[in-house]
Amino acid sequence: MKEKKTGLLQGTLDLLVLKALALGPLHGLGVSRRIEQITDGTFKVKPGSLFPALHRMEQSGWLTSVWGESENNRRAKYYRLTKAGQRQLEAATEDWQRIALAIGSALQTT
Amino acid sequence: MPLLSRLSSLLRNLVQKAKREQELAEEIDAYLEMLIDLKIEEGLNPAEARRLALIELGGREQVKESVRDVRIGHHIETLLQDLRYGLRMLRRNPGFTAISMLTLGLGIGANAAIFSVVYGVLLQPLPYPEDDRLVILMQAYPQKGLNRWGISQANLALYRDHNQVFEKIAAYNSPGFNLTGGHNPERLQGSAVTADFFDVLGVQPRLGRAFRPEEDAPGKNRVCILSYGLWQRRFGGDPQILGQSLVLDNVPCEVVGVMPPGFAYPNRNVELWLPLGLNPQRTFGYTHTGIARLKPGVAVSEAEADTTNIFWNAAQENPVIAGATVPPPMGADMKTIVRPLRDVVIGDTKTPLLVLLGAVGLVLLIACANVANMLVARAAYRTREMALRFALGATPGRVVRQLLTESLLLAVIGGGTGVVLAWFAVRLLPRLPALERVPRIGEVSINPTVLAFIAGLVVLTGVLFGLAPALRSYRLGLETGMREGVRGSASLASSRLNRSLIAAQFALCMVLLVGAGLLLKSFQRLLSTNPGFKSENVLSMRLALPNTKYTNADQSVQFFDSLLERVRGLPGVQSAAVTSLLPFTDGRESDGFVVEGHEPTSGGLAPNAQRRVVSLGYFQTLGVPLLRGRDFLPRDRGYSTRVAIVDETLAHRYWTDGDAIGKRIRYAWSEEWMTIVGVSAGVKNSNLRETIDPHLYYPYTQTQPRQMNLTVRTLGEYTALIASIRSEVLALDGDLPVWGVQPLSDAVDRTLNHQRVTNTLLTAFALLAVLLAAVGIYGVMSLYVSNRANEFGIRLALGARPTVLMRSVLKQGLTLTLAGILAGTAIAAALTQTLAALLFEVSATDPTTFFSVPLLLVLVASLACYIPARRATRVDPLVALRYE
Repeated sequence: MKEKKTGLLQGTLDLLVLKALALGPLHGLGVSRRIEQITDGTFKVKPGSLFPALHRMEQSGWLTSVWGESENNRRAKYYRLTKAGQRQLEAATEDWQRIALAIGSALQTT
Repeated sequence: MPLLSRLSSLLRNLVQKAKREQELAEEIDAYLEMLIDLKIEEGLNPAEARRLALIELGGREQVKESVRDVRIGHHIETLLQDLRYGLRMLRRNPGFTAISMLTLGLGIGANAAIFSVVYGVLLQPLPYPEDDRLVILMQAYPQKGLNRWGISQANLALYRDHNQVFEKIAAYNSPGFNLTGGHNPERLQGSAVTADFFDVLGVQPRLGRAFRPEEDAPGKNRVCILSYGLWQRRFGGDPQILGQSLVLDNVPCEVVGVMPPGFAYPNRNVELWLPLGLNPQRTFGYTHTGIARLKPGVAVSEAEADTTNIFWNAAQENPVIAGATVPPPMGADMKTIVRPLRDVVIGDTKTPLLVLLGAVGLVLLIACANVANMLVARAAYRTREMALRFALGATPGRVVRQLLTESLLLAVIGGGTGVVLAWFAVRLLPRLPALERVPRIGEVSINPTVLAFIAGLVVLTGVLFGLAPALRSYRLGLETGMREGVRGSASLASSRLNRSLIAAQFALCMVLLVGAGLLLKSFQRLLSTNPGFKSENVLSMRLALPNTKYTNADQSVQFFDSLLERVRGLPGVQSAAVTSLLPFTDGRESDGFVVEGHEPTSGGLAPNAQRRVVSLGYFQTLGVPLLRGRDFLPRDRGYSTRVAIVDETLAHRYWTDGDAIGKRIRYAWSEEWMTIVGVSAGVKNSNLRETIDPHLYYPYTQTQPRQMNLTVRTLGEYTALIASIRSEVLALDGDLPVWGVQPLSDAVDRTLNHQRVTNTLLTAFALLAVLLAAVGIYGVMSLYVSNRANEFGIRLALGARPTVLMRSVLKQGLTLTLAGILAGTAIAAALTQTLAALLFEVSATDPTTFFSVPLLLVLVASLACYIPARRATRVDPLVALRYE
């Protein structure tokens, strides 16, 4: 049966995927590992959540995909940020930082 | 932007589905392989790496399914998939499909038909612009016995000039006219209206024009407007009709307009409209009805208060305007009645229609319960299919959605059948003679509102019977997986649902049968009520002497004298008479009267009695017993002592033992005393339920008779007699039409028609419900027996007696039935209060009905359970043992 990553909102996953692809195109496994890397191992995205996210964002026009060859010479689907995706990344980052600030200050007050 | 991108993705998903699937499979496989490679690099052996990788992946199909879920157009695709699958399932089970289609078709069709009548008659606006502002205006003085009192022309002028609440007000009455000239004289029902009339309603003639104000004055109103029907029927739709002259009551009237088809105010029989010839000084003749359009925002109660005020104030200054010699005293309840036109048109059809709608709704519920039971039974056979679906990655929501789609498909098929059935039924309705007096029956049709109702009903039905089995299947699939021999636990779980549905069905059947039973009993009582006269073998017909030709009393009296003499001489005639108003046909006409020695004190109120002008022989012809004194005699003429006959109701009110002979009585508007010469038995006037009003009869020879009913008691067959009577009439006056020929028993019958229709329908629905419930319990008990086949087989093998087994099965079934009956009794006792208005001399909790209906249901249930019970005894013990 599927398992959803608890505590990881869909919006947050999208943000992490966009960030992971910011530096260059990756295939599915690559995205998953990169997210694990940039969050210091906190978020290990399961394929059951990752692939729907990738496909969804592709449908919305934030990513495009192209078939290519992986490191081990296997056929793999590579995802890349589009211009719209880039803009979405910037906007989402701003939002997140604003929210984080707000919650942070809320938690600090007694 | 996202929207465009999503649209193009949608197109691609739909068109290139196979390619998408292949790519997705490749992508997931690639992921898996790369993950395995990674693990191998980390040092695991290939087999272990593969195993761990597979676990991490979480199942290929599940991942693919979760991707498919987010694909745009997924829902449409799955819907199409589910529909195709559903159709295939239905085709594979033709028996189930046929039964469901029939059951649902009948249920939904009946609901659609009844709803279209409810909508057409009760809910739909009248065919006039802003019909909610149209009101009827009448007067009332209940203390004087005048519950509904028409307005006079002077009254109309009063309201017209002083009101603050009406945009426009008009009035009308409904005289008949003899149309002569051309071929046979014909009687036409017409309506005399004030000039504003068509404006108030907001309808204009299709041809020609409406009346001009100057035409609405006495003497100037020699114009008329025809109905569309009359124009077609009598004049062949002649386009040159305008300007032609019709001779009405011997007066030529010019045709100035033709109304559009379908315009039928005040009722369907009116074919002619003439200007009233309003005379504001005319203070007598309270025979008109006011019709007005309220100013925007004015409430009906405001209008009533305003007009009552006007009436009161006028009556204080000038009592003649209220038909009195002194102003009404303080505390008199003289007032106006203002009612919305729609309410008046609908009349008393509201309760029966709503009862039928409720009943047919219950039938649909029972039908749904049957279909639900069948689906639940089938669900037990689909556990493997369910388990497979879950293994392939379906989410619970997806499975429920699929099952609901199948149910909705079934509901749509049933609904389609229902629409066809309803369409035919509705087409039939206006043709049924029993329904001809239902108001607005011609406006009933399957229109968009009705279709929307049907659509809503279909969805509701589909969800109702589909939800429980869907949830059941889903839970079964989770629990049992792919195990064999799963039927045992499945059947136990579902049987509880089955049993409650059966009990519910019987509860609803109880309600319907009790309702039908009460109405039938009430009708029985009604039929055996004595109307006060004997209607068998009495023929009646009407004629009216126009006062343009019969200008004085002598002429009119002479006419009827001659007519009666001739008619009494015809073969086949036992007796003949005339009367101004015929029971059960003409409605009522009452007037104030004064009894000598009981005069009301000045300012007091005279009581009312029904006023009838009759000939001698009337009581004999109608079979009304004369209790005291004598009938009118030929010597009671215009120049002799004025005489009268009262009925026992009036007599008992004023004299001990009702001995009124020799006492004197007069009408309130006349100074002439009449001597009472006879006391008759009481007579019911318009329907069998009413209480008897006091009657005061006087002979036509002592007044000027105008419109009279000729009544003839015949010795058997009378069809030939009708022609003879007509020719006698024409021999006396060639311009006089005779109309309204009918046996009196028909008139009485007609007042029962509505009740009859309601009863027939309700009984039909109740029987349909019982049939459905019987089929339902048969099905469930069959399932029960086949599920326990092993158990029965073993018990038989161990020596149990077959009758014991049968009894245990029957006991199961009857327990359900009794549970349903108990619940149903409680509901019925509560609901039958709504029927109280329709019941006659039967209590809403009539014990006999409440006792006999359960017996009937128990009998039906026993019969239905008998076959499954017998099957329980036929189980071959060896077969049962082998499967254990």
